[in-house]
Amino acid sequence: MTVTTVLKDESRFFNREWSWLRFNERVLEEAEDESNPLLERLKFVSIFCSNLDEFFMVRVAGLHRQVDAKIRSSGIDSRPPREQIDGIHQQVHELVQRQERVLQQIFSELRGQGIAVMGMEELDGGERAYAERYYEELIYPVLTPMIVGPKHPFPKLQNLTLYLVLQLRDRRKGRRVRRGDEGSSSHRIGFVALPKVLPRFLRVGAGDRCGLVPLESILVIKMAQLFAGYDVLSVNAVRVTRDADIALDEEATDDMRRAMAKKLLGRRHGAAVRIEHGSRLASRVQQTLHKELEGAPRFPHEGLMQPVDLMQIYASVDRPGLKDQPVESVNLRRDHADSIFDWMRRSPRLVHHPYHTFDPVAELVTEAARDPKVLAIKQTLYRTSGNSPVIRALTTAAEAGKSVTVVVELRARFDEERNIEWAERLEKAGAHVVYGLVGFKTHSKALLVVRRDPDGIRRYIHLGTGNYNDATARIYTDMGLFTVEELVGEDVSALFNVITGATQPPPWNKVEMSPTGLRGKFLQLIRLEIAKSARRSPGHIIAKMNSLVDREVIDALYEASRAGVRVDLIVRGTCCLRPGVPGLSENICVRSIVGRYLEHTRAFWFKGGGQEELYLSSADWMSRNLDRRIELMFPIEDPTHRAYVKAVLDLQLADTVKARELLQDGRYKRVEGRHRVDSQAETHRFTAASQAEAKPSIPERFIPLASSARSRHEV
Amino acid sequence: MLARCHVALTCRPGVIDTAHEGQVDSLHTLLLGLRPMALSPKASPRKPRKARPRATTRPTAPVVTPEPEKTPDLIGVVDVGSRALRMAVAEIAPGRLRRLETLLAPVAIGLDTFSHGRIRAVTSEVVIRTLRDFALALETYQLKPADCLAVATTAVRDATNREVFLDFVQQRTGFRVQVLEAIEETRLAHQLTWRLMGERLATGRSLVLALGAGGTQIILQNGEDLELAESRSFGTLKLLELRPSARTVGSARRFLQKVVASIARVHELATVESVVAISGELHRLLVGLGHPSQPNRGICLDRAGFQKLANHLDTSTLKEVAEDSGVDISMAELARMAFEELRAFTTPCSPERVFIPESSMLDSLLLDATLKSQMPEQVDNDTPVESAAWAVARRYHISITHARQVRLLALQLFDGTRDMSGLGERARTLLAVAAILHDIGIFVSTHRHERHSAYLIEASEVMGLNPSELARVAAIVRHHRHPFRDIDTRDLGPLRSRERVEVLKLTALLRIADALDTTHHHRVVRLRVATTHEELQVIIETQAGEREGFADLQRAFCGKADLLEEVFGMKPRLIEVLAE
Repeated sequence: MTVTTVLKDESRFFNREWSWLRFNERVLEEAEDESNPLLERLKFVSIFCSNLDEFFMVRVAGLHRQVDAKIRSSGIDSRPPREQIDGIHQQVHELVQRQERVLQQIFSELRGQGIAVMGMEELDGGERAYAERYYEELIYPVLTPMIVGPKHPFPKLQNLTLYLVLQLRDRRKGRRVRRGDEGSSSHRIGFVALPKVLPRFLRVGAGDRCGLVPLESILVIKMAQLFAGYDVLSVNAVRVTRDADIALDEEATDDMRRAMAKKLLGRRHGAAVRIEHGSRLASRVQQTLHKELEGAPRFPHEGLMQPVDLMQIYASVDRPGLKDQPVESVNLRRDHADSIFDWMRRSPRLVHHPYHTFDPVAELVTEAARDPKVLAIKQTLYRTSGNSPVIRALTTAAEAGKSVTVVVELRARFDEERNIEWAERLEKAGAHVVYGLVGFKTHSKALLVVRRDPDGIRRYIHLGTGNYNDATARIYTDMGLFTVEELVGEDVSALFNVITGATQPPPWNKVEMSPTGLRGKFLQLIRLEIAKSARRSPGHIIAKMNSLVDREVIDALYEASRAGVRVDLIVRGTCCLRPGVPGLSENICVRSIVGRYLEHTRAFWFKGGGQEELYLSSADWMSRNLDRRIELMFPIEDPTHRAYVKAVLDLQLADTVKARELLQDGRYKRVEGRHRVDSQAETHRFTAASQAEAKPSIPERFIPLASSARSRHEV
Repeated sequence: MLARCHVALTCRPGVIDTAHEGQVDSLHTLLLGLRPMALSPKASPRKPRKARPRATTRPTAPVVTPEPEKTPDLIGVVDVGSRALRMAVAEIAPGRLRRLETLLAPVAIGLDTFSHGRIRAVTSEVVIRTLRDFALALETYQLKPADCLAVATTAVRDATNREVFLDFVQQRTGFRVQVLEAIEETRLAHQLTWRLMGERLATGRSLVLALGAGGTQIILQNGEDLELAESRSFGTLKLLELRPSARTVGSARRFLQKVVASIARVHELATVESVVAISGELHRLLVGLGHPSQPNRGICLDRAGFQKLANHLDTSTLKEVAEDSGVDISMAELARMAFEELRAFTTPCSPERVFIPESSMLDSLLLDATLKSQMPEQVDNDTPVESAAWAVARRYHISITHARQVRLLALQLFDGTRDMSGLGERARTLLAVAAILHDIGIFVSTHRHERHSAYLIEASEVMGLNPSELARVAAIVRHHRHPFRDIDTRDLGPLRSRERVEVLKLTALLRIADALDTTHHHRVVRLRVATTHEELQVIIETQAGEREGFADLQRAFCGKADLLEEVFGMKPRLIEVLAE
């Protein structure tokens, strides 16, 4: 294959959906990895399934809509949507089989540890009585049996809800009906939903014995009682996944959006895209389901349905020995008794969650809320935990008469309800709650505190790669920068004015923003690296992100590779770039790290012919981030910080435990190495050590309060 | 130095530090401060003062009250322009300016005014919405719309429904928008240019053009002397809107050539060495085309560079220009029109250098506010107004020497009677302007020339004076000749009573000053005022050997002293002493 044909050919890209499935496969591998503690493995099964649910609701549903709109090809590799869906189904079947196998294995190993997921038949007398009482008192009152018959239409099965589906025979009609007379057949289908208000597993047993009984196994034996007047011929489980009706505007091209808008007018909302059912479900019932649910594809399950709920077991079973050892995160402010404002003024600070605690971020908001000199607090909130300290502090600040502006993104997937609730609370307190710009999700993470210091207004800034969420900050790896630098302050001030619609984007001092200039900036940085690359000293780019899907950026990276620039990519999830193809991408290495923490940092390092440049961003290299979201990228200019981030990146490039390398054919292969390097564990050691020895990371100087912070930045 | 006139500066309560910085220092920081990027504590000459250790314990030292930290004041300025609404929030301290925020929202008020004559309701709504967003940004600094200095220019000034519009805006948003008179725009442009490029323009002749969307300010300067300062009612957007054929450039070019030719008939343009063109659009376009822009100075084009640019714009279509520079097409269109204006003005002079600074109305307003906070009361700070008056006076070929002499005597009289008159600095300026312009009516006819002077003054633009002040100057001049009993107070009708008294007092002084140079021989060298119980003595120093006798002066003095007696309630008496 010559270079030119390779470059024009769409096969230079991996299919986005299939690549994502590979990512989920890596999550499953973590469940399969026997070196992980048992309950952690169980958690990975749950994550795998929850990922898959979201994938069907959003991505697969989107492809179905494209099929309906008769769109011929879509995606970065221009494939017919039908072909993509077929590919997905085939791979999902395989993955689900693997998931069931590994879950079986985990269950049996857990049994060895005294934790048993069991059916009613395994319970002893006392436990059984307890379960029955549980049914009578708690389950039964919330059950709603439904029967499909001539007078009862097929019910709307709720999205992601587990149902028991029953084949029933009406005892009164049974004898009178002739065969083949479907309309008045005595055969009925019954449904009963597992109540969502109750935990999925009932815990029985005491001491070393820990029994976990799935709700459905309690229900099954009570079905005859529930459907009185019918003979229960069979009981099985079924679960429907529906189109989440999340417009894929972010990804679609204009033409596509127009075509789909036209076609979708007549289409029912929330069309079914997947039917999961127990493998022994009668084919007759299967056909009825298939017919009633828009011909959605069926996925039979051998084992436990809806394994998402296994997270409950992980959360409720207190067996530290079966989980990852807790590691103490470093609180950067632990030894600082001064106010956070003094702390920030002394020097810029870089935080790396979860290795560093989230405390300083929360502290900035809480202290700002109390500080009389603070005039205003502005913050973007995308996904945040319900009773987060951040929200509480913002409410306090607004009540205290400070100007509080919160940019809330209501379209954050699946979090809408939660977001609206606290947004209303803030508004009541007197804060300005802004819902961003029409057509653009606000994905940038910025916090601005305007304070009237004695020598004038000073802006205290925090910029991050992740959300202001104290809960996820313990699981997601993210980086953030605290700074009071004037030029960054101006930029962030302006950013908020842009988001609130008060101004057009100005020329930026330091940061860059999408959808206006970020794409151009990335391409420019890549091209600059190409320009600076020489045979003796080839260029080098290290980029770390969640997903790499953008066509233009990938082509620029190919160009870089062909110009001899070394490109190291650390892409956790979807990656559409095909590495290692001679004449196209032989200088590009792609690796993915899936481990204990969810890799969430977006960092971009450019060798720049000796003048390194390093940026952190909220944006992935995806079209939706670069074209349809408000994203922010900011430079890391402090040499200590740059060295730190570079060291983290190098560590991840040396990982031999949780890293997988992407091969030319799209498969991922575990990295083999003589030394065992677990980058996440190493980073813990690394941050703890650097905290101990280099506490004043920059030598403290006797600098007057008024100008210390600023003057030092400008060095 | 500048007019504290109708543009009232409002800033947040707080004491303004009146300590005078060294003039050079303050200029320096100010220049830096004008560009947001240039603010740096290192560059600030104030830094050493701030370099106090923070709250460190100094056990042996006596208790020293720390120098009270002066927190800078915050101000907001809003420009309701023809194409966009802009707002800036800044910190000002004497000699220091630091921009904190700059907001820009495109709203084409000019399109409405220039094509419909009025601002349409739908546009008003957009203005309201935008100003509410601005108010939210102000809240960040706990400023209120009413605290802001908000001004509007041509687009609002020329709208038939301007009062209703302004009231609507105030009711709905709280912003009290003041409409700047055209000549005030000129003054602000002049003040800013002089601040930015004073050193470059101080020698030789220079032409400053503020190429707005709805109006154009033209300032011709010869070193320190102002030769011409006027505003014209054509602008880039107006040209494009009112002359759709201007889109073909040719028609606009012909129009502009006529304008320039008419100016060139009166003022010599050929010897202009440098031209400053203030146009945000042109600056953006040129930056987009790769011209480097220096702080303060902006873009500098020499003859070859200017020609090259002209060729580029001539040979490219609008779309190409827009694509080359990365600006949108409507901005490219305005920029090209600004360039046409610039080219029309530079054709007769072919200047060595053309500067296109990066500056805007917001810069002008902030500078104005800073200067006002810096120099609350300074004796000679009205020179720009006087030079503007001289520029008007020269147009009518007056006797410069006589006018100078009258101005001098009038001001000496003013200073001598200040205790009695209770008049302030601004009145002194008005008197000076009246003295300079009192004889311009002779250009029309010597017969009752004071009347001609008065209406010429009212019809003129004197940069730095607002219409009400100009009316007062006209009133002073109108009554400077005839006996007091002929003064019809109804002529002063539109003035408020305080202003009427002020006008009468100043008229009284001007009459005496004019009388003491009645023969235009400048006999009086110096003048002072002394008072006894019932006498107001005007003591003049004259040189020996003059042709005229004291009697002539005495006669003229007596003929015009009636008003002086009336306003000060003392008998005026002229005393001559010989100058040493």
